[in-house]
Amino acid sequence: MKHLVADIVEQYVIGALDAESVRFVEAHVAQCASCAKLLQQEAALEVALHETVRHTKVVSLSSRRKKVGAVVASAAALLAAGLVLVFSVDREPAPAAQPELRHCMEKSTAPDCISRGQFDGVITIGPNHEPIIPRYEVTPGVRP
Amino acid sequence: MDITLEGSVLEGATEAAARTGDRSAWTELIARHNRRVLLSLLAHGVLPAQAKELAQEAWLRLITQADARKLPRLELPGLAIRQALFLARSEARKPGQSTEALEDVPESTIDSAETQFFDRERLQKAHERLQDLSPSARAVFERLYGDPQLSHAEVAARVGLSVQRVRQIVCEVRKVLRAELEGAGR
Repeated sequence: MKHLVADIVEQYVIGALDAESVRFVEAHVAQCASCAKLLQQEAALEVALHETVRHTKVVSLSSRRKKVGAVVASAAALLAAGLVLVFSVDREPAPAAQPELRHCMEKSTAPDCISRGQFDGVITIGPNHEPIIPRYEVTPGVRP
Repeated sequence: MDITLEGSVLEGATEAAARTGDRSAWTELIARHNRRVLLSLLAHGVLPAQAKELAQEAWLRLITQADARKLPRLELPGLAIRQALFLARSEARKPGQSTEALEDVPESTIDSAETQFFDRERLQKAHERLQDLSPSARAVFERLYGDPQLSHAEVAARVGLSVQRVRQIVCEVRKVLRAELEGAGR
């Protein structure tokens, strides 16, 4: 009996096969233990990919919660300082808004950080300390 | 949409409606999550034909429980996956059945987690490898495998690529992560 090629099994698992090919794969694995095992492995990888993304979200959510805690603490400190200033200093005109800067000093993550900065339209500072001005081009709207 | 630290998706409006017996809500949820249920069964060695039957049975049981107001929460796809794996294990234990892989599934896995093929450390490494992907590949990957899960065509439309290119990217990402995750499966 001929076996299924791995590419076909992968296409089945990611849902890229047409209905006829799906039936062919399902009929084959019902009779071929070797290909059924291959299907099981590919499905396990697919499940793992979902878990990887979920894990990523859990990690980012966890770190976001820590950041929120830090921001709340900072905001409380700023509020206290602001109250002191309000009662002790005459009001001055608000300074002009400064352009947002994003530091991307870590070499390993700099390309991605700069790329995101370009997308977000903020000036980034790369590892060589040179500012990189965002380019305003027409993009398909994909956030990197 | 929100997730707990354990990664379970907390129920949203559709889940809440389904829990009160709204059939259109169930239809939407099944369409959204059934593929995950099937994949989990396949990953445990259940053949496609049986996996489809078990998935259908799992959904029916959930709907029945919802109708009887016995579902205090509806976190999907985890609950449907657990129900389907429970049914698969019960089937495998019947005399004359030979779904060997399911005999290896510990009860604790069915009771406490969706699938957990890989430990957190390995998932963390896979996550790190994801950071090496190009921004467009990562955008495709996160949309395809995230919540809400989108189809290839939906992702293609959102990121401005062809469906064929999206599938190529999926295969490339799988190749990268396969190397990282391989060898840790049951």
